Amino acid sequence: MPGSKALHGRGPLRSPWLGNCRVQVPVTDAPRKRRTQSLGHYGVHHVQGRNTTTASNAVTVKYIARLAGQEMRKSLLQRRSVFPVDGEITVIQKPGGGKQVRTARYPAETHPLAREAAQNAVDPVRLQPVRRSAASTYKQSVALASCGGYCFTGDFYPGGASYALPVTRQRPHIVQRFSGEKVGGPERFGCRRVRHQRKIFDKKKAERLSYSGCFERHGSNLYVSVSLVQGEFDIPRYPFYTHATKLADMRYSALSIFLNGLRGNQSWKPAWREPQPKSHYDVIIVGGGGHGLATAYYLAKEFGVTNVAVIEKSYIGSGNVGRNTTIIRSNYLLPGNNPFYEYSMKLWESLEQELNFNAMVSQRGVLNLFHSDAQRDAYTRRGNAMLLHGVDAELLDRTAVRKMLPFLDFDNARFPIQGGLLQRRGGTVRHDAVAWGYARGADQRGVDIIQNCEVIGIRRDNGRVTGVETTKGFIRCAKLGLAAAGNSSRVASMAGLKLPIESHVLQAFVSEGLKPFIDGVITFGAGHFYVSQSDKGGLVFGGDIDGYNSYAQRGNLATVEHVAEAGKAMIPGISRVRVLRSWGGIMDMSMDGSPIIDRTSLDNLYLNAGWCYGGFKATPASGFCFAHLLARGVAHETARAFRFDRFERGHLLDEKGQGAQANLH
Amino acid sequence: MASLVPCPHCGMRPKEEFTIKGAAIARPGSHADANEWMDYVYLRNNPLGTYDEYWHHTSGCRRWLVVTRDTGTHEISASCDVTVAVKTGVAA
Repeated sequence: MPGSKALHGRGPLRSPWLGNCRVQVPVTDAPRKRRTQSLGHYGVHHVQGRNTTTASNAVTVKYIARLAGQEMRKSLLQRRSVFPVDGEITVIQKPGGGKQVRTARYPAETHPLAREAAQNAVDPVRLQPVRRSAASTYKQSVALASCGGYCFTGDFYPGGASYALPVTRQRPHIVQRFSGEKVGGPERFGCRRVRHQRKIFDKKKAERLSYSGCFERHGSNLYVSVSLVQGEFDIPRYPFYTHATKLADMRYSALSIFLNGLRGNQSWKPAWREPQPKSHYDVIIVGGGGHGLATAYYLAKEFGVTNVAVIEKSYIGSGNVGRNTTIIRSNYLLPGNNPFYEYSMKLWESLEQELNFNAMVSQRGVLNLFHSDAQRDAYTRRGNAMLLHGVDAELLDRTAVRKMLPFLDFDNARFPIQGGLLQRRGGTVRHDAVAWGYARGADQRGVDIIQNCEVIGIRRDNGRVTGVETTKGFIRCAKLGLAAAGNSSRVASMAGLKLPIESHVLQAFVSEGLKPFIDGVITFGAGHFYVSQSDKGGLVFGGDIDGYNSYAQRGNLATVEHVAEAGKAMIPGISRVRVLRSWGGIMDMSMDGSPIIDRTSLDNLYLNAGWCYGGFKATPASGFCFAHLLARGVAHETARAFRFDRFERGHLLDEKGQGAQANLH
Repeated sequence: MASLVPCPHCGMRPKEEFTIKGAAIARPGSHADANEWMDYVYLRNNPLGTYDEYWHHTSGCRRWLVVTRDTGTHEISASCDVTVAVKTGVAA
């Protein structure tokens, strides 16, 4: 239907506090009616403390259309459910997680709900056997349909057979009555829809309309979709949907939280769509991590390139952007690095306002400890380099550090703490919110974020890339940007490129929650350890990479032990703190420890890789500079040193001076 | 990854005893041109799958080994002394 695009196929919901939700699976294979249109989906339901989402997925149930022409009678609607059916009640018992749907029949008059129904003069309704549906394969599925634009009818699939129950439009309150009863979301949803429909449609018009809706329950998640089955009207003209669309596009604010709270938080919309890939894009970015999403965002916002797709093999935030230890800083030494990371820091500072997304940017300070005179000299040099570039830096002596962090082991026999280099503007950011914020911002500007779509080949012709082969088919593009982090070598090899990159695993850890005692980020200068404390109280810490090539996203116990030892050497007091969880991410370790943002030997193939384990702090600037390169064909002024050919030319950007040994950077 | 690494001289030893150098690739000959050196020094195949690496048994026999390992599963399928590897053509 023209103009209804915004309502179609919304993807997983990202409301700032509800987190991720899964996508709905089609419920039926029934053929669509001709005029079938999806109405989109409506907000999120919070059921029994779990997140649920709604999604439209072109679920159209043919038999509902048949019902629309019938005389609508009365029905009760309930999950786990009770129906007055010609003197009998069908009870479908579906305990959560159970494997069997048990159907029992009771005389109507013996069941309290049926009695209640009788008192409300609800006529018994006939069960209408309808076609077998694919939904019957699910453990429990409830389809709802509104008939005549007023009420929903329940539809159950006990053991494979389907029954539809027509409902009356005169008694929507019957639907509402059961909304409060342990049924959670769907009925409330139905109830709301009923009310909305009452507002919108006049009777005459309404009778020409019908909907089908499907609720699916998978584990503790509940999925809802609603489709228009029959009817002729233009969806965007209807105030409810217009209103809903507006609400979806509404900026997050205290007011929007308040208003949505009044609506039971059911009007939140997914933060980005879940589109099918188009056949052609101006720019395709491989990799839906922080860098890829930021690139798409800045392409659309700063450079006016909106026909952009971000292709992600898993889901947004599944890779390194959700696996790092959330630290931002710009305490770099080399002139090729420092302006870039400082630019990134400046972008961090205005990021939340710009994205209208709470990324919990917290400039709590980053302190690098030093333990010897030589190290002090090196840090002094770095601090001076920072100051020369206009970056804040403070050299703290032992007394100042002791005042700030009295619990450190200052008199460690091997590594006495002599002081530290402090960047107060450094800090932490909630990393997954960065991915979501950029994804939302990019999506709002027309970028297609295509998840669960893996690039399996890069098609080339005459020294140019023509498009990418993906698990969702071939997609043509005018320009291709690779931002695949740990998988850069694999993707680049599809285009015949061999990169100066090795993939290594870096582990990160979170401890149990503790009272706040670490204000900022502390890095140990004598071993592989750095730590900050999250707002939940857990220590977020990590060390060095495990040292061997890996694509496994999990590390080795030897490294866990090593990190724990280093942590204990720095803060003896944490020796009895328990580690709650750890994980690994795949780092694209470049041969000089610095990234590449550059063209490649293929004309329209661009590379953004080699971030080692410093990619997170670079996210905004990396996105901006890569977008600049993709849109204008020339490097951004802060990223000129990140050339692909610097290895060949001997102009390495080796911050640590380790040489061409990837696992030492 | 297994925490025990097979050493052809010492048997199964804890991973902490080893130092990892990286890709076991053949060093170019003395007449190699700049491109070959560029390839040798900087460029890596970095595959997902079986990979030959130089490992040094630093805290054991102090021999250089060539360890064949899967980068996706971390399983070690073989390890041999570097001299054996050179003879069999695994590394140079």
